[in-house]
Amino acid sequence: MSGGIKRLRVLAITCVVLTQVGAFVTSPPDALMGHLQKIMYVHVPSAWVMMLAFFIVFVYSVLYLWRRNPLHDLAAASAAEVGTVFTALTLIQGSIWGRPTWGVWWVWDPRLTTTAVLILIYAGYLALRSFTDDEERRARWCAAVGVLGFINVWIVFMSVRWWRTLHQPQSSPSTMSSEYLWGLVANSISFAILLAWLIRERYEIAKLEQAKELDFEEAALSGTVQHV
Amino acid sequence: MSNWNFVIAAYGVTWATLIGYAFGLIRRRQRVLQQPEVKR
Repeated sequence: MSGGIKRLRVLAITCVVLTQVGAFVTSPPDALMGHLQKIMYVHVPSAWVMMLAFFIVFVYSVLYLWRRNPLHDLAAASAAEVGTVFTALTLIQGSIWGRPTWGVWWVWDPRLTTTAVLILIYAGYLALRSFTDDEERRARWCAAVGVLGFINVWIVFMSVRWWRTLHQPQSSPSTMSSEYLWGLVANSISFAILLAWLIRERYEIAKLEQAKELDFEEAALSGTVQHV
Repeated sequence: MSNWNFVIAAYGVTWATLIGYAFGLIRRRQRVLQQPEVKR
């Protein structure tokens, strides 16, 4: 294993454990929500890194369409998979928080609805990868979805400003007390490091699988394939 | 129902999913690395 990934893994786990435990233990109960406020330390960082992951998909999709480098397609696909995991988590955590706060598990609020559309787009992106064996065509189609799908990330982000929604606006220093803010910032940073590690790990797998597949295909075409 | 149940559920789902996914990735990479070499 490359030393880079190992160091990133150790850094991610250390940061996440320290910031999660630190914020969970030190944050006082909120005047209105009580201890439910602690869900913010997993929900908000998950939502932020979800958007960050899809921004990475967008960047690598643009790079693929520009340079036609297959490695850019693999990087975009890796970020899409990890981003989809964080989107699912964001929806589940929000639903768990919504039940005691709003009285319902789900409501067709613009923020929630656009996030549900977001997971469908990127689940579709991942499904699209198995629709064709033609690598060049698959990469081109997925890059198009990666670029167009990012429009919805912007809509998700702006939804709480554009529409009068049940979901509160983005948390920021102006809307939060400092005793909650440090934990949110620290956890957002540690989740970003965790995201970097997971994408890197997934990207290395994709590269290894592709290299093995190419190697096997070349050997099969030359008619000399033989397992040891 | 106590609010703590919801807090525990949210953290439980999050960390069970992330730990499961991360272990899955690590094991998958090990499996790929252990696949037999192609000999020509």
